[in-house]
Amino acid sequence: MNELVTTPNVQDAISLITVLRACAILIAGWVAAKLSARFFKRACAFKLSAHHLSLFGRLIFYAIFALFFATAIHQLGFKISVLLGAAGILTVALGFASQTSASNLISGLFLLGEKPFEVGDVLRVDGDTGEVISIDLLSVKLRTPDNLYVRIPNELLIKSKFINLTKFPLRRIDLVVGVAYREDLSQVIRLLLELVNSEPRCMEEPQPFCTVTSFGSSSVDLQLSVWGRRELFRELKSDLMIAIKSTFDTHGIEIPFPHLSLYSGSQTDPLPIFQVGEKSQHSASSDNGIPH
Amino acid sequence: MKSKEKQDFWSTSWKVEQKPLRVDIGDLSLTINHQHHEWRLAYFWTKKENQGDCSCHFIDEFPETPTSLGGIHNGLARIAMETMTDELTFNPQLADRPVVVRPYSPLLIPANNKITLYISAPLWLCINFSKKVKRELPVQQLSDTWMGLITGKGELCYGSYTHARLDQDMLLRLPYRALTPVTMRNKSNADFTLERLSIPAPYLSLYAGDGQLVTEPLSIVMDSEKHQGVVEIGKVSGKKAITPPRKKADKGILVNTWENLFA
Repeated sequence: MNELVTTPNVQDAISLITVLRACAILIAGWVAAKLSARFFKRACAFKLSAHHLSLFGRLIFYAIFALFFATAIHQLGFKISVLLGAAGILTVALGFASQTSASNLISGLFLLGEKPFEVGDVLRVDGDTGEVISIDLLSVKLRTPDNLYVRIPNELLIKSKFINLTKFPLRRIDLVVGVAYREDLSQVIRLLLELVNSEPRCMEEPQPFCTVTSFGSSSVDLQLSVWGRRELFRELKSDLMIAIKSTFDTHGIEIPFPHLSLYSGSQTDPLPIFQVGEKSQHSASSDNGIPH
Repeated sequence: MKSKEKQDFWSTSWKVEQKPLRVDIGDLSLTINHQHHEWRLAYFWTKKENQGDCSCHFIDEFPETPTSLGGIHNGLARIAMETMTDELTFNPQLADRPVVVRPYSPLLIPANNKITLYISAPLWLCINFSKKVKRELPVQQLSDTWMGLITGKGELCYGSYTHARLDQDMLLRLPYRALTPVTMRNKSNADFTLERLSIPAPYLSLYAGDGQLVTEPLSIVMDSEKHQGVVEIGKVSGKKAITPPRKKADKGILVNTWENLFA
């Protein structure tokens, strides 16, 4: 084994000067790799995204450093071809052990080509929502709105569904508005659309619309849909709900609480409720056998 | 306020010292107060449907809190200045985005026909605190709207309605709106129904017209069968230039996709 790996007299081959030379080559390689990566990032700053710059910068660094590393190894007297052969056997063993990492790495390359999101986008993955702060070789890092750090392996992103909330510049706000059954639905729809038309942040095109969606157990449900700029989504949704409540209060339109009607049987009237102190009503009720 | 006085509004400078200056123009009501090393602005809009006037006068008190302002969508602003002057001027300015105008009723342009319609759009009030410090406010609040594909290949614009008059004598001449004559030539063999039109406001200049501020005329040649539209910005002669365009168009021609022009 020693005969295959080194020259016949190891002690003669590896001298202090050789070691120093190898170290100098390594240091020079590190500096050259660093400078090359930095130069590449500056030259392509306006042509590539932050993600691509980071990834290609790292690839350039590792490629150049690997060349200098091989040269340093050669300086020390080791035969590269034999080392590579041994490394091949080691690679197979490591490959089995690092299947997941390799899968993440390859998934990362696919994500790089497909570009479904970029740094700064907001993703919803498997119940976690957050802003993408970095896209790395093995994983993507998110920062949640409450400032938590989430690490998502690239493999998970490739094989499962995720939602990019900031891909497109517009978003539609869907509000479910429930009104009492006694209300005039045409008037309600007219008021809602007037409210939306008077709000400058609601887009004229695509046009807003309001439709009746269901007869609920306590209310008639309508859907009011408006389009707005993505960055105004949360604030506009809240302001619209406040404005709807205010408009309904002004026009006496009821937003009902969930309520339940009790019947003692299908053939009887609803159970009456009396306040304590209404004696005349109570005596009439007690004659009928109704408890109070 | 008479027509000449309304036009003079733009060319008058105001000295604001002890008392705040109240400006009412279109739907916008603006109060400006001069303080030590800062200007204070309080503003709000109330819809007046083109019935608003154009006036300036001094008042006694400056509204300090948003609740003391009227209208909807109000605001308070403070502008710090290194060097204070007490003089203000106002400039008219066109919108900072294209304005998508929708005729109150769709207009049919027959095949191989050419028409000229007159479209007005509200101005922005530009307050000049110094040569370099300015603040702009729209005199009428316009809604956001989108021209183009909603998946991103489009443009954020302002939305407005227009009567799209074909007769100049029927025009309502208001000092806070700018008039743009638009000549539309339908060179296809199919009729074209105009439901929306995008006016490239950032590329237009403002000129002093006859009791009305005007922009360069636009010439649109369209082929609805091939979905092509070319917008050419004309030239104005014999009128005084007031405000230059925000952006420059190459050779005065803008080639837009069909979706960004009409759809």
